[in-house]
Amino acid sequence: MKYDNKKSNLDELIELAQKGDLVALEEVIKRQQKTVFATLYYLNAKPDEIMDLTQEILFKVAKNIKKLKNPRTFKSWLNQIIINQFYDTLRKKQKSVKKVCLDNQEENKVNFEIPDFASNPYQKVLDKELEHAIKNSIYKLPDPFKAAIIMRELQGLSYEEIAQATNSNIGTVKSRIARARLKLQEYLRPYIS
Amino acid sequence: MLKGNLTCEDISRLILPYIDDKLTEQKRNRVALHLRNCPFCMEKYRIIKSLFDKIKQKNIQRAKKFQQYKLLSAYCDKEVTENTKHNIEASLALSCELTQRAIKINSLRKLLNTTFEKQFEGLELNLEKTIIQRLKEEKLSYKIKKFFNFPSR
Repeated sequence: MKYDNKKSNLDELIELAQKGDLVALEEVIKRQQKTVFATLYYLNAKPDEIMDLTQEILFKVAKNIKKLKNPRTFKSWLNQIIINQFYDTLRKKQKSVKKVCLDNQEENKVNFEIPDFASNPYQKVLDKELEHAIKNSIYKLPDPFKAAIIMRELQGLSYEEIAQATNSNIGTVKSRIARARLKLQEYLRPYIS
Repeated sequence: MLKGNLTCEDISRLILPYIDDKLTEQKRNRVALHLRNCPFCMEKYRIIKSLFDKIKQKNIQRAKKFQQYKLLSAYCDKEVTENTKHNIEASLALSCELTQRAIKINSLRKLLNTTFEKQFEGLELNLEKTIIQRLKEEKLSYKIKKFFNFPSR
């Protein structure tokens, strides 16, 4: 192997993956899995569905990576897949008849906690409270604002990449991010110095 | 009272479209004629009009403020042209209020970024092997299907 997967940049890896290199594809998946998971988490995917959804999305990426025309648009393309898959699942769920579980629901409840590695217990509590406040505030945003602010602040996408991912223009992205920020400033006022 | 061929009751109905400039020229003239001759309706018109003007002014101010905020937000993301950047920096140097708003945007960004980072820093998913395995299995099953379907033309 002439290249080092771990050191290669994403564009190079994508190009290799598109040529059928499964080792490169594995590295692409490895690097993107946390992004997919975190995005779904803030889009408010159900805790017991978030892992399955992440897997489905990553599988779609792996399966269709050859169809991506320009490796530089990978991030926008990935986000299109995330958003489509997330809202598709949501729509399907709304259409399907609600099933009532007759078993003890408490027993079947999946506990979902992201491991917390903060060492100071006091800080841990504060961090947790803040994280909940942020998650709830993002949840309250209208869907287009939510997606735009997650892509910007969580993933660090440029306005152009967000515009491509959401099939809109840069002006709209600018507005959505500004509106999301105004709302978040209002909801998170006690935490902003 | 019938003035300009319109009663005061007609005016009550027409006063909002008149203020919004949604009437035909002929109707507008008749309303204006009535207002000139009827102090009661004129007073009513003045009160409603001043209320509407205040709301309009507020909306304009709000829209202007949002435009400014939008630019500032894009500036904080380094998503403005060089020219706009210079203009914003000049305004920031002159306005304390604007600087405060920029600081708040940056505080929010920092708060979100550090929380997002902390939240997922220890997370290990290790899905890559499963995905590749699934891909290989699907390819194999496709090949098998193709192989068995092929002779049955």
